[in-house]
Amino acid sequence: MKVALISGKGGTGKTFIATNLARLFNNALYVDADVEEPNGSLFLNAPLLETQAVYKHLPYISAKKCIKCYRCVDFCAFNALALSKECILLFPTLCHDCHGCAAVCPQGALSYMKKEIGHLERRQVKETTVLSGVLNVGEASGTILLEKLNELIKAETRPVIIDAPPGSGCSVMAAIEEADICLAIVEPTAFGFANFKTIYALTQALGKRLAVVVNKVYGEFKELERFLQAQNLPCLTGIPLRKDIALKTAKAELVLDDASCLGYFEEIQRKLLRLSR
Amino acid sequence: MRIAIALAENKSDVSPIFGRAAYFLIYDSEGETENIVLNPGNSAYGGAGIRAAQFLVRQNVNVLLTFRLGENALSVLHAAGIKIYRAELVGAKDNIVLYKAGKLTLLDSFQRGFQGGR
Repeated sequence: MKVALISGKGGTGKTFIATNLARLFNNALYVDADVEEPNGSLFLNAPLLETQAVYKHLPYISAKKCIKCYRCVDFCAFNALALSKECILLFPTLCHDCHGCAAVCPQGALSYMKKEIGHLERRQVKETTVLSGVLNVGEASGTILLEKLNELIKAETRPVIIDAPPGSGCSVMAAIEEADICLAIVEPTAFGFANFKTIYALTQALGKRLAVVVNKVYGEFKELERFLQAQNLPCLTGIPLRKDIALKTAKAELVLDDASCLGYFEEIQRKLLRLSR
Repeated sequence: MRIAIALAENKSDVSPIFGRAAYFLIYDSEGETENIVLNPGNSAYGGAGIRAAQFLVRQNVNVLLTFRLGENALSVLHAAGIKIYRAELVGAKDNIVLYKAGKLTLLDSFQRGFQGGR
């Protein structure tokens, strides 16, 4: 089973649920795919065993060989290259590392230099492996880190719990690529519901199975219930809005030692296993 | 001398933005001709300002009149020696008149480059 926890907005409880679930599974691989602010390892605390640098390749144009034909500039869909009179300009954060500029250059004027954009961290807590992608501050895109994580997820035979970044953009699409089921963490508010609909559309477009956990439940929010029913989406559980849970989570503590919390996670685990069968 | 102005959808006002402006008005002082051209930056996935600036360089523009400009576009325009003046809150053509009368000032503050998103 490979499950990715997603949400249309931040702060719904992806890491809260993913880390507790990872601990409950006991032998899981927990993947922190929120590479811009990976904090899952604070909850699944363990000594760092290994780090691995991740690089992107930036084009380097030889001014001697360049005939200023504009082919590379015109090819780049992200406008990472410009040619202004005698100056060849590179905007490194816009480059998506596709190597197309070198492929279209008739002069062989392009070569590449490696740039470290972040790293992977591996930790081990008993039988639980914690794998985190860490993007360097100032980098615009963590997709390359997510591709590295996906290679490792693909080869994994244990249960995998992927803690995805918030939103419904490129990084989320990359984070759920290897997941066989997506678990949307939804707040029962108008804002939470509106954001949920964006990831619902995303999982539909990518043909991913979707289940829901409603977090911070207080009172009823009928619109969400009706939507889940109408779309035939399984709701695995509802976790109430509780101050003691918020306090523990703010201290980066797990909540499984609290019998009143354990039940929610056991329910999620049981239903996930059934769904992924 | 070729002068470019970022144009709004209505083809007469100055666009409030540069990179994704709908059009450019390009005025050539030699033949006193005016041309309205599509801004290729308008349809860019990312780096709209860079694409728009690159377009102006290839159009052999000497002067740009605009309300605002990002750092990325600035670096492309600077490399080509294009001068950038702050447009006034009047129509695009009136801005050309103001420029020719020496009434516009050089743009001296620039938006930080967003440099791509998710």
